[in-house]
Amino acid sequence: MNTIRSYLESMFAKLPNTPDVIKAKCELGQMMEDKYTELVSEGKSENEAVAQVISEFGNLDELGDVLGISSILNHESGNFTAGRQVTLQEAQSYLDDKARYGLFHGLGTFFAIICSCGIILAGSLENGSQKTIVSGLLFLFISIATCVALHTYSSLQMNKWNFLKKEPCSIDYGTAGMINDLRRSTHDTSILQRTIAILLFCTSYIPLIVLSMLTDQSVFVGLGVDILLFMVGLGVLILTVSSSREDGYRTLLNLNNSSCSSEYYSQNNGENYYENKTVRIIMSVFWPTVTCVYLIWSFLSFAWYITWIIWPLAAVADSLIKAIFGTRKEEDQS
Amino acid sequence: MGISSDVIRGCNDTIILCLLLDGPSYGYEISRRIRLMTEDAYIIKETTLYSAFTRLEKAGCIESFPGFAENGKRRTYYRITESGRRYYREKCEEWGLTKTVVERFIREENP
Repeated sequence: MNTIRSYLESMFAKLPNTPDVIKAKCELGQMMEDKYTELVSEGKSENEAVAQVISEFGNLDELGDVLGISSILNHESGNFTAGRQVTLQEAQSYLDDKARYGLFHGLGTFFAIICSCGIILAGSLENGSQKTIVSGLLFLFISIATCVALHTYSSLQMNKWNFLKKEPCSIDYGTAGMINDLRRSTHDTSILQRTIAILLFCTSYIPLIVLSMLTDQSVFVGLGVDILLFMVGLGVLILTVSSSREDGYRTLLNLNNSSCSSEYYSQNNGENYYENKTVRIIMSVFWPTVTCVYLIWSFLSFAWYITWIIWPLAAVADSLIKAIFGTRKEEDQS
Repeated sequence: MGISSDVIRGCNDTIILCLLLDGPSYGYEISRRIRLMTEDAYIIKETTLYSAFTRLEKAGCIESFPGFAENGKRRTYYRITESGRRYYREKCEEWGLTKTVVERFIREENP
């Protein structure tokens, strides 16, 4: 309800305080409130109700004649911020797409991580026949194919939103407030998801240790490694889903330049920027390189039980490079 | 395909007056009944509705009076006046005429 009220306030913010204008604001407020109350009582969630009320509000231009304020409205639209106005519906479908992208992309990465599970298990079987090896390989190829398919599909789906990053875009105050509310409402979920993911990472090696202590049969070690990969994959999946959603909110809230009131909600924790050209080039290929090294080392040595160490090391290196060479965008601007 | 707001604009008065024929009502109630009666085909925007109310009231077709909602909140109600009923009948006739005129131009494109 607060979002609706502040949306209305912001729509009327630049209008003169004539009796007609004040009356219009009250009446429109009543209607919106009635509609909101009914939508909520019909079982819609608060966010859905707010979104519907705001999207069906209409355009203040229509009131220009009856309020005698057309001149103000027309004048205002003349010097309005340049660039494409992202509507509330667009913002919402972007967020939906972003969430789906996160899921698909995360699933793809999940398959990339567990792709070697089959072959590890097959390799650790003492009486493994050729059949088990082949089915392990089959699992590997199917997983990689699924991964590539999911990544390609999800990236293609996001292509249509490229304009958000390339063209100058803006969102109005109401939409920004709405997105900010949404983000706040998913904040707890995000923290929970991150905690679960980190817990998964931290505990992923426990089954392996326990299994290898209990028995020295190699099949159980293989199983332990599989569980480890599975848990890491699951953690990455959860992290991807959560960070993709957050990224969506951030992209939208950072659309406006600072002269707009909607900028109020923006946070400048955007991407890092590297002054040093060499560092920039290295960082742009950092994670793909790490992945390649991991796969090559693992396949050459078949020492899957230890090669995972690359990931935490790479993460530490990544943070270090960011801390030493990286410049945050906000500092850059000031 | 949604309804074009340009086309329906001339008919908003008729729609609102028609709903007020059944008795006094208020903003959201009217927009809700429009949605129900048209089965979601026409969803009137709040600003459209309000500007129609203001215009009709200035023309003397409807009167507004303060009332109270079930929860005790103040709310503006509208009722139709005698001249509003007359205007409604005129609008109905006008629509009948408009419809027959426009319909002459609605046909399948020749192959």
